[in-house]
Amino acid sequence: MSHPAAKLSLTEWSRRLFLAVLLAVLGVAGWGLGQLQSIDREVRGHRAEEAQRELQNALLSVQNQAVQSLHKLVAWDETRQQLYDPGYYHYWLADRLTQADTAVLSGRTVQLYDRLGHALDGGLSGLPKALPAGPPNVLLAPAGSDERHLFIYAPVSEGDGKLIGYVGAQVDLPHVLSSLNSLSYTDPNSLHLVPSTSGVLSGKSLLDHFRYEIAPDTDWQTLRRQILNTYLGLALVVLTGFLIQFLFLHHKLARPLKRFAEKIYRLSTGGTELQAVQELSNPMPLAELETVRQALQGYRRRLSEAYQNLESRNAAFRDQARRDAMTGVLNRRAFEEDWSTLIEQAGGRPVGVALLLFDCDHFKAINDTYGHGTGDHVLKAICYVLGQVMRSVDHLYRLGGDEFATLLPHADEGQAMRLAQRCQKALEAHDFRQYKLKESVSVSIGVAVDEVSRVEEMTRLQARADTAMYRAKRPGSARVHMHGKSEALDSTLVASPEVSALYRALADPTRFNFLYQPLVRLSDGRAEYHEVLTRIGLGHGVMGPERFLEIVRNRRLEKDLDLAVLTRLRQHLREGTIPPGSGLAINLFAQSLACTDILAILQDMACAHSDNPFLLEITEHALNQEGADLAGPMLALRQVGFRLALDDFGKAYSPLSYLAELPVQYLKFDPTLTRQLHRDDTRGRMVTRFARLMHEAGYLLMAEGVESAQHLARVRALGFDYAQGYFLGRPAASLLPQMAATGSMLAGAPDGKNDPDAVEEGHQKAQ
Amino acid sequence: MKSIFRAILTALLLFCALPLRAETVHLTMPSGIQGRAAYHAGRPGQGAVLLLHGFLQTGDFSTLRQLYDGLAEAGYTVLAPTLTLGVPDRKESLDCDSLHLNEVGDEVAEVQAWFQWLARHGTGPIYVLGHSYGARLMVIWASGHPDDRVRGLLAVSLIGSQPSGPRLDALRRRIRRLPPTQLVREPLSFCRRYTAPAAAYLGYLRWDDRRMLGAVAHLRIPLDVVLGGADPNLRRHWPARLDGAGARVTILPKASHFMNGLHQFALLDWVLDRLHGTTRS
Repeated sequence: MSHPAAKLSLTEWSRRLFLAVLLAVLGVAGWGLGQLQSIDREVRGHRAEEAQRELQNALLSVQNQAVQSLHKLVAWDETRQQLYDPGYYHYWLADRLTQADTAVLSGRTVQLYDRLGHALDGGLSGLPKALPAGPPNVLLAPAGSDERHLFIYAPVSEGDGKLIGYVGAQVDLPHVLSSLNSLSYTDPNSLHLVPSTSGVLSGKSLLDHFRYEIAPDTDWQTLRRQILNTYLGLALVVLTGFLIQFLFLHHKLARPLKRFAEKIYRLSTGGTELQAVQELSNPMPLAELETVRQALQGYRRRLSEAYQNLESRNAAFRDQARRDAMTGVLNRRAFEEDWSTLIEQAGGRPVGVALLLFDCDHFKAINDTYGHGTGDHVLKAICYVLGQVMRSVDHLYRLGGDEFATLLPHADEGQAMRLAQRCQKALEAHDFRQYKLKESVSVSIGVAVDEVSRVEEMTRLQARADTAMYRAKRPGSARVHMHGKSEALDSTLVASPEVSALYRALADPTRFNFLYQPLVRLSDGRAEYHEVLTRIGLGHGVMGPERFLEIVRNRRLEKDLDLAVLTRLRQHLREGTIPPGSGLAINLFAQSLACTDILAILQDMACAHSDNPFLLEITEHALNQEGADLAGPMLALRQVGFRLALDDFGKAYSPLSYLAELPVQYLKFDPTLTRQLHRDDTRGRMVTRFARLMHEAGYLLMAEGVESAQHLARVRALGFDYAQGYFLGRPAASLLPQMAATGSMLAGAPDGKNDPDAVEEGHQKAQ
Repeated sequence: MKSIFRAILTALLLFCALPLRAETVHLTMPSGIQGRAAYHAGRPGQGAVLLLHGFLQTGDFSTLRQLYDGLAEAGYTVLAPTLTLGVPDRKESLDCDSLHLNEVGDEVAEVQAWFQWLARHGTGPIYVLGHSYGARLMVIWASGHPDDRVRGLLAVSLIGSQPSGPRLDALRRRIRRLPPTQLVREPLSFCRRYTAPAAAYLGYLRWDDRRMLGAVAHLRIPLDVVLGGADPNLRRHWPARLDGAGARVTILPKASHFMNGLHQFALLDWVLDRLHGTTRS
């Protein structure tokens, strides 16, 4: 374990402390040994002095005792007897002399000399046969003889002082000295005499001729040995004690603390937390550590609780983020996450997935008719019913609005289809009238099954399900449609050059091109308005509304399209591309009326180009879905000068009561209705009557798709106020001032040469 | 009680007389070696006493010393020689194991020498006194050197010869067969191993009881003998035999051979009595 802060570990501290104590013990031991050596030197010096003094005293003592013994011998009667009559001198030396009280001379030899200094009986001992010259008391042995001996001599006299002879004695000094037992500092065995060249010694200089060694001080040696043993013992005790303490601390403190630190470190670095936590649950050997551990455990517990609390909150937040607030089912984000998770869990292997898309039919109308509250109840009911049918492991996602989905991993087409049918049956069986609906609620279900291995394949699967769902919505469909693998995809839902072109144009409105088709006022034949027809560049050609509008609707891009087109149109107005005073009929999705940005542009256009009359053609089909809550914006637009027309009137389902609430002024009949006007059948008559009804209701009627003079005559006869069609004028790339000339539109036939695509558009509209 | 009183009185007198005591005199003996003696000059005309110590002892032996002091106090001239026993200027008693080169004749000659010296320095009558072997030597000397200047002989603890009897006879026969200069270690007097040349030793053995009693019988001076009643060396018939030989024998009851203790004073009284009696006679 490497800690960020490179502090010393407890083990390292202990190791260093042990080394320090060891060094201290060694230091103290060394100091003690040094002191001992110093004391030893002092003792040796002291003993040397004492030995010299002792030996000096001992020699003097021996000398004195030897002299005293010699004097005793001199005073001994039998000595004088032998000097007087040495007839039994041998006997006397061998027998009687040992009886003499001359203990200090034990081990000596004695020699008697006559008054002339000649040894009695020729000399029987190791002493000189003749007395040395002069009267010395102490003599060293001559060279070559025993160096251990000291010779002493004394004269012998009778009572009246008459000299009768001499007594000589040979003293074994080392023997005598050692026998005295008075030598404490001198080794008796090392004593020996150095012969003197002169052969004569005085008593005091005797010591100078001695060589000796200092006797070992047994007491000091013993004491020194005991001190050393004590030192050694103390050092061993200290070291052993410290080692035991070190081991104890290592075992009871350092190692648990190290493990403790490692556990905490692992916890801090997010290691195997569970193991670390379990290890932290083991009691520590020392009370202080146990207190720390318990405190840490408490802290960790509180932290864990806080973490769990935070986790639960995060989970709740995540769940909230993943859930639709109104219905309680998962949302699109959860759908995408679960999809990604599903792919990740597959680990790159293809996994079969079924995607079921649910879409409520005519939910917009329900919402508009019965209000959002009812619409919400309907959506919740749909979620409830689907939740009841699906397995517990299946999740229902709200992708947006009234569109729901579910993913069935590892499901085949049969399983997916059966589930979709069960859902459909359950929805059909549900009584939606409890929400005060008068109509039944149906849900279209698109099913797609495929094997996927990449996240990106979601788009394709979803497109297939979308396609299936739209096919399920077709009239007469069973409301459940499975998109077969061999079935073509809805081109608007998959990536294509058209889709790309649309998105590029939305991002860059300059890519939009406009054509202008006149909308003629029949009362005077004047082209009061020109409908702005939008085109998008696609490669070397252009893409008309028949292609991009389906993409827009399927992809819900209505607002985006209107915003881009209005932006581009305002640009044209500012640039003067559109002549002032030219009336413009602008198509607008009903959804856009709820967009403030779009409303702001429109108001800006109305203010900035007030001399250009503007007619907003709002699609009736879209109005059915969105229109109810758009009356306000529509009135506001009217107040700033816009005129409002309901485009493609009669193409979609619009209740008259609903229409009456809309503040529109014009009803622009869809070309399919316009073509019915000249037919003399039931449909023709019904349309004719309807047109008259609307006219009588006060609406200004516009006929779109006037292709011939007959058409024109018919709409005139029916009281239409405006007409539009190839017969009256083809779309043109530019809007020239003369195009607004009156009367010309009704007199001349349309040339149809301005925009070939406009011809096609006219045909499609006719269809 | 009376004796105790006298003892105390005598001790006081001795204590007071100490400063007056002897001088040491040296005298070359006939053998040529020097001898020594303690000498006290008494009152003129009072008489002189020659004191002779016992076997291997000196003139300073305690028994003799008491007599010496008492006699000196009593005014007698006293001479207490120490027999050399072959040792020049001998000052101490000799051990039995010491070499004893002297003979009986040497000792008699030294007694004679000291007597002559005393005769030259003393005034009045001369008395000789010997203790133990000194008494025997005095008898031997007196029997061989009769002199009119000697008024009497006092013998203290004069006991019989040792050894004696058949043992003495056997010993003499064995010693006679030895070379004269061979050292022998045989019993003599209180010594069990008296060391001396065979000839010298044999000279002492010749003075057995019969010869000693014969000498006593032929003495021309009175012989007063005092014996210790508790002397273990005193044989039963010896006082009678002395008495039979002409000696006047006195036995001090319970006294030992050395007359020590309170018997010293009894001995001194006895000596003084004999000296006074002899003087008066």
